[in-house]
Amino acid sequence: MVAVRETTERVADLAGEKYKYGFVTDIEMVRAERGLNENTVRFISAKKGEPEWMLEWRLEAFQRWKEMTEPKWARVHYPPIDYQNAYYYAAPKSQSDAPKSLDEVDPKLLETYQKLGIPLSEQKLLAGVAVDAVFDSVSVATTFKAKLTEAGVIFCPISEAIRAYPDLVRKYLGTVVPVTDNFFATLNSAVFSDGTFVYVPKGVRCPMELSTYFRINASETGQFERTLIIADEGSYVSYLEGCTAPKRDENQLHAAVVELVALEKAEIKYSTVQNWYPGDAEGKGGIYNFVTKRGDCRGKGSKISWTQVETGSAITWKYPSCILRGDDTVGEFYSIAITNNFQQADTGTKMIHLGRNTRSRIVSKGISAGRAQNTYRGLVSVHPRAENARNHTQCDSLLIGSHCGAHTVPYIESRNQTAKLEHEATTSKISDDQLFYCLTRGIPQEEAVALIVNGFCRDVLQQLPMEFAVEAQKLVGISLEGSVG
Amino acid sequence: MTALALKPLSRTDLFQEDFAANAAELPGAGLAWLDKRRAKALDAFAATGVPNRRVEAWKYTDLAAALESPLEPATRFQGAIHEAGAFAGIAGTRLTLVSGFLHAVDGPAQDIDIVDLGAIGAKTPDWVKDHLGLLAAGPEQPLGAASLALMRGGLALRVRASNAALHLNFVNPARRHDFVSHSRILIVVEEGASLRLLESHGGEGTGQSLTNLGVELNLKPGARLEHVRLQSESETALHVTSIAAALERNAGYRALYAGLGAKLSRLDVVVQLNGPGAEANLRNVSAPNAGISDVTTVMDHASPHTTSRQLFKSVVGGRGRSVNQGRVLVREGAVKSDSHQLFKALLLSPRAEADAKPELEIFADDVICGHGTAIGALDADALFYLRSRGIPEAESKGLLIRAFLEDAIEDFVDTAIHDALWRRLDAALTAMGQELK
Amino acid sequence: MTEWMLEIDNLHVAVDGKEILKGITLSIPTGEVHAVMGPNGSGKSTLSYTLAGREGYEITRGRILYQGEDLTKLAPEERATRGVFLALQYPVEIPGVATLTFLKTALNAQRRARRETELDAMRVLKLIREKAKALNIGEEMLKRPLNAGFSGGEKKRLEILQMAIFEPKLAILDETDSGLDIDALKLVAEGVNALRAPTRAMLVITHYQRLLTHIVPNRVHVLTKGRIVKSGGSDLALELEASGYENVEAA
Repeated sequence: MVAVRETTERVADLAGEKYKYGFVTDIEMVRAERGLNENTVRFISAKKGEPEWMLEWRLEAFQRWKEMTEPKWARVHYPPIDYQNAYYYAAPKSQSDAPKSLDEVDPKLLETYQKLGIPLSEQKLLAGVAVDAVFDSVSVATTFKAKLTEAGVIFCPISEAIRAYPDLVRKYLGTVVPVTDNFFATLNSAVFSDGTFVYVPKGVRCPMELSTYFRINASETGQFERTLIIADEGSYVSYLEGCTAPKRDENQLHAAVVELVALEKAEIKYSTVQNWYPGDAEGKGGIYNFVTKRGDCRGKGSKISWTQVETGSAITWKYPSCILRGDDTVGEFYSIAITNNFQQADTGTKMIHLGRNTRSRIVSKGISAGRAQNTYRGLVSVHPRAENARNHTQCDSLLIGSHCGAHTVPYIESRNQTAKLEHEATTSKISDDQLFYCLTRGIPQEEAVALIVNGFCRDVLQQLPMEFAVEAQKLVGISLEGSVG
Repeated sequence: MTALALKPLSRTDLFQEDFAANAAELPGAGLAWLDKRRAKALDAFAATGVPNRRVEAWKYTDLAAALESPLEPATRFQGAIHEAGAFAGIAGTRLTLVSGFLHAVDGPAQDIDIVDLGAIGAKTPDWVKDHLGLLAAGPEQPLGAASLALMRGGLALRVRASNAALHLNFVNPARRHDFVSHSRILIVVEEGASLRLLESHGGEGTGQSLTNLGVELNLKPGARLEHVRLQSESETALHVTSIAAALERNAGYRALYAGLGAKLSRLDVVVQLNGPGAEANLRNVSAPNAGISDVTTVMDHASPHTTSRQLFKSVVGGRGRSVNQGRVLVREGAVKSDSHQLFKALLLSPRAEADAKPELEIFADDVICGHGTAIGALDADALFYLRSRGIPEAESKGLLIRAFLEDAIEDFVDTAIHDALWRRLDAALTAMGQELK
Repeated sequence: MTEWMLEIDNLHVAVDGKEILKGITLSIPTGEVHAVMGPNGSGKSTLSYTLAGREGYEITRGRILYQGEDLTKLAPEERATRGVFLALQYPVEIPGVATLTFLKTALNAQRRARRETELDAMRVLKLIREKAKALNIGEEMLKRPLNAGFSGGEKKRLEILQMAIFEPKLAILDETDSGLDIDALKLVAEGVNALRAPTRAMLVITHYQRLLTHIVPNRVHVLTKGRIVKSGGSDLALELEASGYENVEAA
């Protein structure tokens, strides 16, 4: 993906540790009033031009959210979030009418995109990736619509899908992550601002990888994306999600929901490279990333794989999961989670084996440095009727320095005697021998660390789509700068 | 008995009511140091109450739900006891405890100080005062804390010689009422001394009695404790033992636990490795057929240069459930910690269940820590091999199950203990429907 | 004594839904040693596992008669008790079960099923020791857990020891020579030859000819892609060695 590669190169070019995207666009914004109440929900729905049924859905979610309490069990610590002290909707004023072509896009916005390294010119896009660029809470540009339309693939902002394909949305929205699944999912259901909708028809192999850029701009606006991807029978889609965010002092809340539905013999590959602002070297500021991601292998023989490289956020709380509902279904989870300075991550996956002959594979690599805390939390559960379930889990932790922590909390539950579940975990450090060897070959310390850590993460990096893998490798190096000294 | 018999109790009030009504009559009541520790322990217990499945550490083992009827605190058993325990005849002094009270002492006197905690008073030796209630009485072991707060009986033992050997024979006979017994064992192994401790829990007690035992193991520098524990009670019994071991430098704790029968049994073990060279090696075999067998451990590497090994094997049949939770904690600065943990469970029937949670909490980088878990069924290749040699299917399965458990026992204990354990194991596996020769 | 120890008639076998044996017909008279030779993937192991009664090997057509009776109705342990012995290509390791214990259990299980008196521990030990000596298997090996930590050669010798102890009527040797050096091979071959008898039949399955120099068969069958494409006398083995499997013409 050329756009991503350019971004990466520019990041690597700079002096090193500085977070590149430390700027704000001073475009006039239209905001909802500060705070969260029923009117906020109505405001959002109206701004999006949503049909009645969607507003009802949101309002019901909001009612339920008011009765819930924030979960406290994750091994992360943060100051209490004041949900009333934020803006829940922000759109650049000049977007009241959606642009029909790139010529109609506000030039200031285009400048922003250039700074982010998203060249929207046609030539660059010949690399073959459609980019649905989200500017805060409104989708601004969607390209390559034509090519996808030809294949019958629907790839558009979710706000557009709600208006244009209501039947599809109603059929699947909230069926993988129920509205009341957890505190943050319920909040998201009430105030989700935008996100991606993908539908791949029967038997279609999506002709290119789909991707989305995000950016949080306005201060104190939480970002609530809602993504729904449906792969119909026998289809295939690979989706890439990559995020960046500007420097801020106030913490910013990010509570997304991603639902994947794979019907019979369909396959969905969902890859994420997450690079949200992690807070400064003293641990101030930074994004709070609380995400609910779940895939339902609904049809027989379907497959869903999650691949993620997480190097950002002050706090990460996410468990991309698979429900292996149909017979002969496969769920996979490959993850690299890096925490440095004062970051805290509590992430992992859940594999729920319900159907017969289901398989799941988990490979988790956690790297901890500075004063960070990195926790893997996983669940592999086999239902009494899930005959012949198979799971293999490998969880490895690498600690850099003596002030950080790496934790593994796996839950392994079997209620069927034919299941075979295997779990292995190791904890280690970068050996002095390895570092010394690199130094004697002329490789400087920082680079040596990046090299060794990339080797540690190889199993996961191999799962990423190629262009993403390149960015990921560079990110791995950048995020560990200053950790070995 | 007072208030307990008069009104129906909420299960979580059970122990607090007992304390409120009876604290003044408990052994050692009035000794300031003991009163203080009992009160503190009761607070520690009250933080959780009788645990139910919403308490994270008990999520697979709902003790509150298993307590179906109100339980009276046990009183001293007045009859004769003929049960000599699974380790009868193996050398050592045998101390028989019935419903938590010291009942008899048999066998040769050794250089071991023995104090009956059921009769603790003003003349308590300093070494008891210095240790009793400092372990297995905190909020992380709520039942252990209750066993101190409500202690009616037990033993304090101090070993100063090498090669001491003891058999603690816990007998749970049939009683007229369902009861709960709260008792304590305190063991101090002095510097350079060593003790072989055999512990058996048996008895035909019917009804829903709850045995709540707290065990404190203090190992001074260079001390060694070899511990073999067999718990095999009736299918309606409830059993919770909380063990806390504190090891100073170069001390070694080597234990084999076998859990073979109960409606619910929970072995809660916390080991602190407090000095360099401290080493713990724990093994467990469980064979639940109808109840829950829960072994939950916390291995705390609190000092550099410490080692731990854990190997837990379960064979689950019928409607049994095996639970293995093992948290390994390596504190900041505890470099060169070396820890390995392996959980394996075989499920033999459609309603059997196994849950495992091997946790690692690591705050130091220069360590080697690993764990593995495998849950599954008997190996089809091995089964076919035996059958192709003419060994009938049921017997082949029996051989493989036996081999699976033997892997944790053989080479870990001597022949006499090995055979004593296998006599009970064979019986348990036969009851599970596996015939062995 | 029956004339035919083993009669396989138009045998089709499928594994995981895929047909591996596509109509095997071969018969072994009592007293003879037959060899089945074939390249990798020809179905050799499928044949031996099917004869031993392993689950997962589905007979879709044809029949197998052992001493005139339908073999397919019998469970693996019943076949063993009636005198069918399969020496595996990859003998299984069973940690925790001492070799000696295993041999004693199996021998007495078979005797019991045949309503013969079981042998007491002393007699079993004596019997095993005698037979073990001829195969250069020491006391120490007998005490170790079954096959655990044994070299390839040791595992194969143990399979032949079992054959000597159980005294089967039909012995199937599945690639007994694989992984053996020349000395081990000779030892194994001696053990096998010592068990040849007019009352016994053997099926030696192998890839290479060299085992058959030491265990000379009465007849050789060539198995490729699930079918027997040629049968002949023991010279057929040498011919194959010279020309290779691809050049064998169908009979």
